[in-house]
Amino acid sequence: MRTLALSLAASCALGCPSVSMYRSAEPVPAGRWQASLLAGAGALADRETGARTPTGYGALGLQRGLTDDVDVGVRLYTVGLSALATVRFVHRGSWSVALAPELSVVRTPNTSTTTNAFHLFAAATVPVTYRASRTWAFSAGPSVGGGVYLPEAGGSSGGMWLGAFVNAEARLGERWWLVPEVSGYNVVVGDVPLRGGLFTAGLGLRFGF
Amino acid sequence: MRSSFTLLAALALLAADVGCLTTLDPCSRAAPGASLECPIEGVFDRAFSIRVPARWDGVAALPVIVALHGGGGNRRSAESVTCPSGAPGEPGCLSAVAAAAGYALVLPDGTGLRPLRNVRSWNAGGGRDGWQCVSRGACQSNVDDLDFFDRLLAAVARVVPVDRRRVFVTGLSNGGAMSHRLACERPDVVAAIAAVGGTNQHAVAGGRCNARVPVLQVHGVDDPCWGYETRTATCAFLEEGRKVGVDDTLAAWRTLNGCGATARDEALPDAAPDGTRALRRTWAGCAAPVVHLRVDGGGHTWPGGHQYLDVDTVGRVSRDFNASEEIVRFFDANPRP
Repeated sequence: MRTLALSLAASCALGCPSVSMYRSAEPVPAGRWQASLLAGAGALADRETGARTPTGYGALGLQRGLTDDVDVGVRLYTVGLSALATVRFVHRGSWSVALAPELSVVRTPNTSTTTNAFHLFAAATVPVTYRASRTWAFSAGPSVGGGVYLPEAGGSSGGMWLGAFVNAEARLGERWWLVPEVSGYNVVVGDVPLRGGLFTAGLGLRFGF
Repeated sequence: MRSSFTLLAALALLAADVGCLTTLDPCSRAAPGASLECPIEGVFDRAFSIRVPARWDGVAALPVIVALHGGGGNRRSAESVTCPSGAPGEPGCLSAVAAAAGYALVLPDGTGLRPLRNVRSWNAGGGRDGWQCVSRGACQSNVDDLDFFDRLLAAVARVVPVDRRRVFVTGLSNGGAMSHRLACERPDVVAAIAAVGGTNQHAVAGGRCNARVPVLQVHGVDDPCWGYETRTATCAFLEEGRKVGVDDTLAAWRTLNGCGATARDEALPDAAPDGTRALRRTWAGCAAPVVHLRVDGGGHTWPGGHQYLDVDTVGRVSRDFNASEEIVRFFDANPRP
């Protein structure tokens, strides 16, 4: 039983897309880099089958500020990769609003739980960030995304989801930030990655240089 | 800007490194000894493996055994669970036993869960009047696995010539229950079935069984996942409801197959000191045979096969006999008239 549960959790961590968001409407400063380590856990539920599965994720990220309002970056998951960007279009006082698109590809191997397949995902998040102080900033926003599942055995399926996130960014010294976050989404069309919803809570650690 | 270019170049390289997906090509005519992985036209994300006997002449119609995986498994586990140490290719695996007897072995995929797409199941029936829907994914989604079976056989027939009098179905657990359902609903196609650790949930939950089909039922008395007697039994954390027991399932088949009330019991040799003993019960006077291999001390396992989970979870594997050999002998003796 324990083996099965661990296997399910581990496999989902391998196969799941960027279920976490860790976005901010404040781009990385122009000419600067920011590395991040993201990890979290949660649960997903399939409405049709009633299956509830524990899940987890881990990712390494790297972002680069291009201008005061734009950054680009990549995130590397265990078997997946995302390209992301932040484009700030509102900056008034302590408030920022941005568009944060993301493209992901996940490659799963043939295992006891995953198929030999590609999973392609695209998502757009609109983070709204309030900077309370030099130490604290709070971000939240909606997200819309879609995905396609392409297995080796043939055919494809797709899905679209709506989601949201809330995170807090706490500055630790000059170069480090700690970012706890909760996020969730619900698949509204199709069955990728499932016919249901997902909720996660996690922690990000950022390092600027 | 140069740094950004470097970042994008790194991204492109990483994307390339993720690797290209190779989709399965449609299988053409197989040669003797071939081992192929084949897609099924018009079927999403479900393929089958086929093992063709080496001593086939490449021309004659082949008898076919369709082996169905258990709930949560896939076509690979359907093969490995029958192997003594879980490694396909070993002597004693169903694939080896079937090949030696001249059968093509077909191992299809059930329907995958979401998002764990290789955790698969069959819609073997149940889901009403307190009977467990087995297994949950495919059954809850009401997958049409009868249509899938028809498409599967059509796809197999494009790979090897099929001896229509000798199409047999076997499987463990959910695959065993699906074997019963196919016997009930495709008696014009299925010559005989051998179910291991899975019974006729389809019939007990109101499904019809349309004609006589020879049945071999292999079941462990200490099976914690699919109880020997009708009761709630499960070793997966999502399952609820009763599963029909061996006696009820075989009583229904005895009635349908026209068996008499008497049976002949034969104890199999206690060949291994593994805490199990096996008894073969053969009912007399049947128009189509009903045979039961009762494994005292046996669990939710394939006798002679792999201890795929620990004994506390699924019970013991009996080493007193090899279920694959018993099954192939039973199929040898029961072609369609």
